[in-house]
Amino acid sequence: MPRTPLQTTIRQHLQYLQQIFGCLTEARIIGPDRRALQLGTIYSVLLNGNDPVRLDGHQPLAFSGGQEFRIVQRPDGGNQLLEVEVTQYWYQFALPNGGKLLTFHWTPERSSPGQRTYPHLHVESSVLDPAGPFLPDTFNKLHIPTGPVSLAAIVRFAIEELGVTPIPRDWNERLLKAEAAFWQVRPSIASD
Amino acid sequence: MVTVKSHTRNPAQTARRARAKLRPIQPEYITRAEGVVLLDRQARKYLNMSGEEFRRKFRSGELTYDDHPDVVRVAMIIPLAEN
Repeated sequence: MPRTPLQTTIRQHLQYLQQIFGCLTEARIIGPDRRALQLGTIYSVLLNGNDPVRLDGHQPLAFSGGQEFRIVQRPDGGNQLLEVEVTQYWYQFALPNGGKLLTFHWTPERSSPGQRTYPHLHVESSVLDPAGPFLPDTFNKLHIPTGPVSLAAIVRFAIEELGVTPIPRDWNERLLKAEAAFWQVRPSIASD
Repeated sequence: MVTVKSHTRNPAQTARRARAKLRPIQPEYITRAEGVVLLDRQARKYLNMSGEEFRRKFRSGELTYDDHPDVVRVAMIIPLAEN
């Protein structure tokens, strides 16, 4: 049975994410059943069912990540173009024993009281000095502003800064292509 | 100019690279029923409650991201269990 444009868009998005996550891990991502998709509905895509995956490199690490997104329709000349609109991302580096290190998070549309709607970073307790002079008990709860961070940038950070061993030989090309696409659709942010 | 740290490969890493080249990993698509099972499993594992209890508390605002570091981990499964 031929795929609908909506199914094709979601399939392409998930394959793209799998390719980027695949620079770090062989774990699969999971996404929504393609038979019951609707425009405007929020779906999630999660690496390894949102359980951490182990990353090999200079120092063992664990990584978790996922996105929520919807497919929207936008006018494009005389046609209607389907686009992926990310409504949440969450990427976390941790120690293999579970101690959390860094969490990148963005929920632009949440409206519950106290919910931060700007993209932010949590520096987690495993990298903080519990006897430090500044907010030692609560620093990990601070929402440190970051600007939107692409999954490709997270993966590049893991490889180039944290010393994670990339799996495919063409990891840099994959990330360059993904990063270019990310900024192409966010020119106003790129020029800030 | 970015300098990438050199990575020492072991046989397992070499095998992973070979597998990735031969057969690219494909996403898995799950049904809503499978999403319900996943939500229940992860809510019990990370937050010691059923998936239904978690979903009710999260949707009502009784449970928020600030209440526990793993709320976001589990909450992100909800769309797979609902849609």
